[in-house]
Amino acid sequence: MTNIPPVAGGKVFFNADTVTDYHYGQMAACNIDSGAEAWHVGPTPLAQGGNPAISIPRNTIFWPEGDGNVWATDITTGHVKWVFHGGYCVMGATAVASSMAVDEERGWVLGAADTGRLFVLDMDTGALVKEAYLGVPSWQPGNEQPVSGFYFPGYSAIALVPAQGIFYISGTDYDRAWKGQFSRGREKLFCYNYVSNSTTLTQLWEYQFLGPEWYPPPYNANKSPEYIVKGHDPYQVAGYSLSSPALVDGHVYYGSWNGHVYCFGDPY
Amino acid sequence: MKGRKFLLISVMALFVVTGLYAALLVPETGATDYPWPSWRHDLQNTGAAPDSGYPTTLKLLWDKTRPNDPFNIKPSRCTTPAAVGNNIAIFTGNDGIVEARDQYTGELIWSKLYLWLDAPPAPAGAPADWCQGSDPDISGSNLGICGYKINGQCPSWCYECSDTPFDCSQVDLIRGLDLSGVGLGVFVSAATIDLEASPPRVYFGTMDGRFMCLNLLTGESLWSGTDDGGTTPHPWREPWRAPGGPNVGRPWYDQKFAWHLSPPSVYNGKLFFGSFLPSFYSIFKQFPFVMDANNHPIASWPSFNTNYKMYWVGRDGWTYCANKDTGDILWSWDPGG
Repeated sequence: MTNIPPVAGGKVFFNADTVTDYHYGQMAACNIDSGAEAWHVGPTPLAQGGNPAISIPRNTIFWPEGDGNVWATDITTGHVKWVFHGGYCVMGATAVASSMAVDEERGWVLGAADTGRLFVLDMDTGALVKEAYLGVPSWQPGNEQPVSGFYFPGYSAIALVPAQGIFYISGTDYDRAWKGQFSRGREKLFCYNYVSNSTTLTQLWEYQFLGPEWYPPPYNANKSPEYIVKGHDPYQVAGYSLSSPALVDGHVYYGSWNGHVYCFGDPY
Repeated sequence: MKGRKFLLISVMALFVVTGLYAALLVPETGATDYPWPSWRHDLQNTGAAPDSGYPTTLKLLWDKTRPNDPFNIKPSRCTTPAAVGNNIAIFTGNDGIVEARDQYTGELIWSKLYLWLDAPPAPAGAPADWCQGSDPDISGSNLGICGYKINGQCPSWCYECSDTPFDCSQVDLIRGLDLSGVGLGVFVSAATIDLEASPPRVYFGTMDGRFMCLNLLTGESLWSGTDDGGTTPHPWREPWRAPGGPNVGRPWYDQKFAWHLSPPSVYNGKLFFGSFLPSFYSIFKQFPFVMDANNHPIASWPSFNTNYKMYWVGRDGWTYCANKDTGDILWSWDPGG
């Protein structure tokens, strides 16, 4: 159990990855006082999904899994309301490792897959409202899924600002990922508008983190201040761990693989 | 007399300056208007900020270098989410560094360093062939080669088997996590800030099985006592050792500890947090393309011997509920692993 447990309605919810064996998953609800299990859904084919989010008005928990699906489940009964396939990255054997975020007023739940796909879903039906690919501003609905050139969030979670219709998420570049532990990738923080366009999401800005203290000259094809995120071998379940932005008083806080911490926004 | 008066004035001036400095360092309580006290923001994990005014164009306000990773002597890598409350931003990460910074200026208020604890003692009772028949590596120089034949046959999941039995005495059952004694910082989970407590607190876990509660303002430890009977001046709790906890009485009790990789939730005086199952041997093993004789998948993280008996030095993966004032375990739940 590697997620932060959400709490609602006298229950605490656990998205576990130790059912049957290491790679199966389940979502379970326990009584908050006694720990008695109220219900569980699963086992699911692959664990190590992202962190769930809850809509209290809709009495629903949305939980992403390692098989690429997002599950919407009634928090009282454990009844599965709908399932949406967000995407599965074969190279990394990971899927929706990023966490869900809820825009209650618009009735949307947002997610991101390790295929680079950003998606906005209708919370009541699971229908796809709009989509885009992280770090590929030129992508438009109807285009093929990018096979290269995109970023993906790993365990980095979306941080949402419903009042402005924007969110922040970090990612590392797919083209340098899963080439082995000694291959390092880039790290960027992105800001997206998820409201203004009816079919896709609009990238507003990005910031690339550099690590000159970790990777000083001389540089070569694999050693550069921009290559800072530790790699993994291919075809194994090894999710990428990036920090997640925190949003406070109009400012974005973020810590990077480069050993720096940042605050984005206007002067206080 | 004149000298004493000068000394008195100097001491008083020092107090005033020190007091002013302390006042500048200790943030005003509750001044953060819209805190983000933990990963995912709130108990429902909405991941949504309730206010507005966030940057829609790139505006970097400050960039601060973290304290050095004690092993590499380079800025400590931050791979965990920040938490911000009470004017303080908390950052953790890979290298044992926990730091508190001023929300507005980024200036360092306090920092802590946690090194890996000493490795657990070697488990008694492991048979001589505990590592033989283990699953193959799928990368590196031993690509696809298993430890040895099982019942005279090279298992179907191995590309080939070595000709001679592997000498398990050459392999440390806990080698993968024997990271103590070399000055290596332990992974520190993301933190959760508790603004309802007085003084406000910060909670987090470590990859070597500890759980901490610190004063958010000063970094001082708030829970007392340790579960191993130690007398460290900076105590922590170890949920896997909890009296009446999930591991008591189980084989190789002393080698079991859980990785705490996520921040806890705090609700109604209780902490809720999970753990990650650590099977210490073979933590660097690969994806389990491992099937048993009946073509049923079996986990590859534990090692197994020539009778398919699996050896796990540590195993936890439980979920815990603790009293937030003491760290005492109130209940634990096994997800069924």
